[in-house]
Amino acid sequence: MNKAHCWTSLRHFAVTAGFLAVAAGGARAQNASQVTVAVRGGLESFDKAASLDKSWVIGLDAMYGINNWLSVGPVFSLGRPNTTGSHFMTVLTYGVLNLGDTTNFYAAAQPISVLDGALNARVQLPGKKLSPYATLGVGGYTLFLDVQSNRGERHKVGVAVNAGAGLLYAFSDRAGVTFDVRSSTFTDYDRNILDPRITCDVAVPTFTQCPRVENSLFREDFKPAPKAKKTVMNFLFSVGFSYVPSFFGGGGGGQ
Amino acid sequence: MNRRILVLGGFAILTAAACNEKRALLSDPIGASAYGYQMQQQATNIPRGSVRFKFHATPAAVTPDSFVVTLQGIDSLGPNGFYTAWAGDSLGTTFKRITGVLEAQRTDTALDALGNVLSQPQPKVTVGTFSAIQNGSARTTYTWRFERTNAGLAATDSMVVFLITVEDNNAATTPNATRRPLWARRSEGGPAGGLATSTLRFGNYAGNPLSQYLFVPTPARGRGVIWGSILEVTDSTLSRPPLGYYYAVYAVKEVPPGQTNGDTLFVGDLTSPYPRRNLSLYNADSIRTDPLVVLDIPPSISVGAARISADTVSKLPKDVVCTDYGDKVVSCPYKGYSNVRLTLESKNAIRGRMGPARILGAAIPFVVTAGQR
Repeated sequence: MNKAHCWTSLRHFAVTAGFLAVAAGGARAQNASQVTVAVRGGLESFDKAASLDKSWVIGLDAMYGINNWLSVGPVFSLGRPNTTGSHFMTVLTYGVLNLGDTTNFYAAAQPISVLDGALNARVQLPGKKLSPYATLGVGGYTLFLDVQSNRGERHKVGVAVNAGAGLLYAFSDRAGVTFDVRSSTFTDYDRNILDPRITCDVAVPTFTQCPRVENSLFREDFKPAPKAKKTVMNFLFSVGFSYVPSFFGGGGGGQ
Repeated sequence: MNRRILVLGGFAILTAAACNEKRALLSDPIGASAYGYQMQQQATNIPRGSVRFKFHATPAAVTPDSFVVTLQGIDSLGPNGFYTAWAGDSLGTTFKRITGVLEAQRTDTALDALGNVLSQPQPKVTVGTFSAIQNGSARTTYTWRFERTNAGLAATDSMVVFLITVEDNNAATTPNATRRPLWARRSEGGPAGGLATSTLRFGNYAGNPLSQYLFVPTPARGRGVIWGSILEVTDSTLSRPPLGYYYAVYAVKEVPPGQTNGDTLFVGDLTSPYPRRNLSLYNADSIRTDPLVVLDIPPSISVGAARISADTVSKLPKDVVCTDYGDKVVSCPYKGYSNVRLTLESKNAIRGRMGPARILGAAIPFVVTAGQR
């Protein structure tokens, strides 16, 4: 996925979030029978076994208040990390060995999009200005791989759960800022799909299939990738703008 | 209104940041380029020679029994190493130390007008009378003559096996039980008319020929690579060295004819390959130092490796820098080194001094020799 593709994939997400932000008019903190929208932005730190570099992430929470302390609703996050190239060391060799060949080493990485969404429940302690909260949800994640690196569209879908806590600082009875820390656990994770290298069958002679590019030289000089895991836990640190859209019960209420 | 602008502005910044990816694809190599080379079989200057046995073909014959030994490819030993000569019986149960007259003939090389290498044998020189010698050379042929009486043998002593052992001192009265690398049997030389010429065998002598071990250098192969400061060689299908020998790797800095500032760099003994480089194969002649690679049947080393990093070798000056393509100044520690060799070394020789027995060799890619990276 190149930069243009990135913008394309983000467009719907941005339009939706922007529309909600504009429609907010004023904002207020959570109340019963109201929808609170929070646009978040921050940094996501992935599990080392996920082979994804840290990346900026944007997110959107839309929580419907069942009462003053409990709310439920969908949450979404979208990040654009690079895969960790050092976990996929690649060699390209030129020349004929008996004449002296030349080998170059590369870290094979690719930019991908990580979208995860969930249905969350949030418990919030009421407060005048500061309101701590905890959240928990179940949903799914999708890894959209780079189209060019993978010679076509390729993605991976799995179940994700998240849990976190945060603090809401209210500017007014309708707006506030959130400081949020959340873990996002991806299940059925498959790091191998992040490997953009051509994989070859070692039982088949090289001259009848793709050239082998895995690093078998100087393996001790490159730190090996962490052991692969089927379940990876990532952490998301974000700051958000929380507000109550006027057409979602924003006409009154407060904390 | 201001709040809306703030919200939208923040969101726009985050969205832009999310799309500002760097494409870390296969565009930038990591580190220097690695230059590979293939180790070629050389199998040259292995200890070798022949023995001419002269014996009484009939009871009436009067010509004294003798050995005339031609010996090449032996390395000079250190202060605790002596090639010692013995005469024995066919079963190898009785040996007597023998003394003979040693002659040496050096063979020099020269270049003709076209640059061809010419062999130029020098006159033979009588060195003296010895029962043990210490010095050898890749370019010296020794002729060692033993006549029964002068050798110190009685008329009843057997002279059907000639044996050279490597002893730790010059006072041995019985042959070293294990280091018996060179021998010849009269029976193998087609004895007829009081004469037999047998090839000198190299390996581990045993009284029973079925139990002896003949060293074969030819199955060896390998490859190497130089990557920045790292020099690495990986060899495979090596015969296990004879008892008292080990494999070592050297880098050679050759110089043109007429210059004398060439040099060798002791890369090290062969070891097991990664990730067991800590297991040296120095004692693979006698024990299975690493059962994964040292085999008894067939007696071989399936894989051996040697590796150094120039950063840890004092002989490689760190301040040697070269100009790379694009006038970039880079370190080039192996500048001038032109060859890599796998040699067979005697444990009684001086460690770190390259011996003549060359098993494999390779030319280092010119780009390294020339000092580019």
